[in-house]
Amino acid sequence: MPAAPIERRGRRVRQNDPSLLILLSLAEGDKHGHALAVDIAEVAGVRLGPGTLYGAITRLEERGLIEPLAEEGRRRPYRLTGAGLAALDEGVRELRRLAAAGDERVVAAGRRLGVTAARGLGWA
Amino acid sequence: MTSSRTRRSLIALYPARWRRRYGDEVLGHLDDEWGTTRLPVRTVLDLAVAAAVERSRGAFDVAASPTDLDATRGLRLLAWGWCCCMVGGIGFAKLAEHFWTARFRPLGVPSGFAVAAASYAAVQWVAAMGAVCLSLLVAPAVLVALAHGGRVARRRLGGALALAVVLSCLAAGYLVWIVLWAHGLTLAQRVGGSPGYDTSVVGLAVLVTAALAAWTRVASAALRGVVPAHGARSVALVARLLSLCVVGVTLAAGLWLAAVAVDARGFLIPVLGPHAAALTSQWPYVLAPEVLLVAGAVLAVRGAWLVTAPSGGADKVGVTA
Repeated sequence: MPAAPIERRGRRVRQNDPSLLILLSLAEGDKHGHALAVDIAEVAGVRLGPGTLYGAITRLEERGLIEPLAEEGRRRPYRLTGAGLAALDEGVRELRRLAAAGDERVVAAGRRLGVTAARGLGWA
Repeated sequence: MTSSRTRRSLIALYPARWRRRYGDEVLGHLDDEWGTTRLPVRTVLDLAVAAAVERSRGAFDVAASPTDLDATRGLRLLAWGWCCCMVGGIGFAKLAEHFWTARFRPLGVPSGFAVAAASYAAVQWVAAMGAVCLSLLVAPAVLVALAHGGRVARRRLGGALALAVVLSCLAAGYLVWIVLWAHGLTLAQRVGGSPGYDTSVVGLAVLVTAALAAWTRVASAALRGVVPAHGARSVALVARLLSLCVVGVTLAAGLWLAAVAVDARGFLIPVLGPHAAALTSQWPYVLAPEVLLVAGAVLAVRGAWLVTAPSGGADKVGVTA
């Protein structure tokens, strides 16, 4: 299946985009709904409501970015597909571009203001 | 209501096809998250909104880019047709208030007056039905566009929504001010005797028209970001109904006008006397609402035709999201 972007609607990826967060979580391994919610809360600090979570799962499944596995009682795990991995890759690269642009602007603003900004990974 | 029943009721809000696929799974998820305790309000709202969005997706899906398909163009024309109909309808109601017995059929009036009274009632009922149709048509589009639309589309829609809310608040505030201020005026001052009152009413009409146009812009912005879902015949059906309502309002208002034209003086509210009698000679004020209604009907019919025509009908448009 060809790589389908997370958003095929000219929409840029957002850091708290439920679709991106689900793909990111499934990249670590297969998970069911509750495990996804817990993992996303730990990694991104975002607690997705059940409606939002399953709304995003529905759309991702429709687009073939994730696939359901066999039911385990009332739980059904999901797996990232190849297309899903490509979409996640694109989303992460988009975030990286955003972070790089932010990085440059922080440095430029620091020079303009004559301030040395404290950075996450040291000092600029 | 027990927590379990609340959960089942919330799942019941979703479309049947979705419930069959995900219903048990979501119930299991809720059990995992909250056990048997009561669901937080935030979670209940999250599920309710998601269910509304899921139902809306049965009618509309997100467009790959701002669309100008015949179907969506037709729906937008319909929305603007309804806007014209509303503005014309408000003008019609304002005009009609002077012709008391042509609005309702009080006891003791000749039976011939029933034509005007029935026409006026038809305007009200058909307009109410049209409002329901428009809500059924636009609300799902707004929900889908807000929930799944692109960032640009959402920003456009958010801007239109903000403007509509601001204008509506201004119109409502102005209306309250006019009502409070006009409370101290005599009837004679209100009927042509006080230029300040006339100016205020015109100002209110401008504000209300602007608010209606702003809400129509919201509908138009939402409809630009969606396409009717594949096989969603309900969209075409509601569009047809809405256009019929606009045409129905126009015809009923026309019939009312014809009935009043026969004996305008006889229909007058008695206490207004000569002040209101002058209205019958002011044809621009009498005809302006009717012209707007006719324009709305033309737009609505053209819009419905575009939605249901074989080349651009809702059931011919593929899902793009």
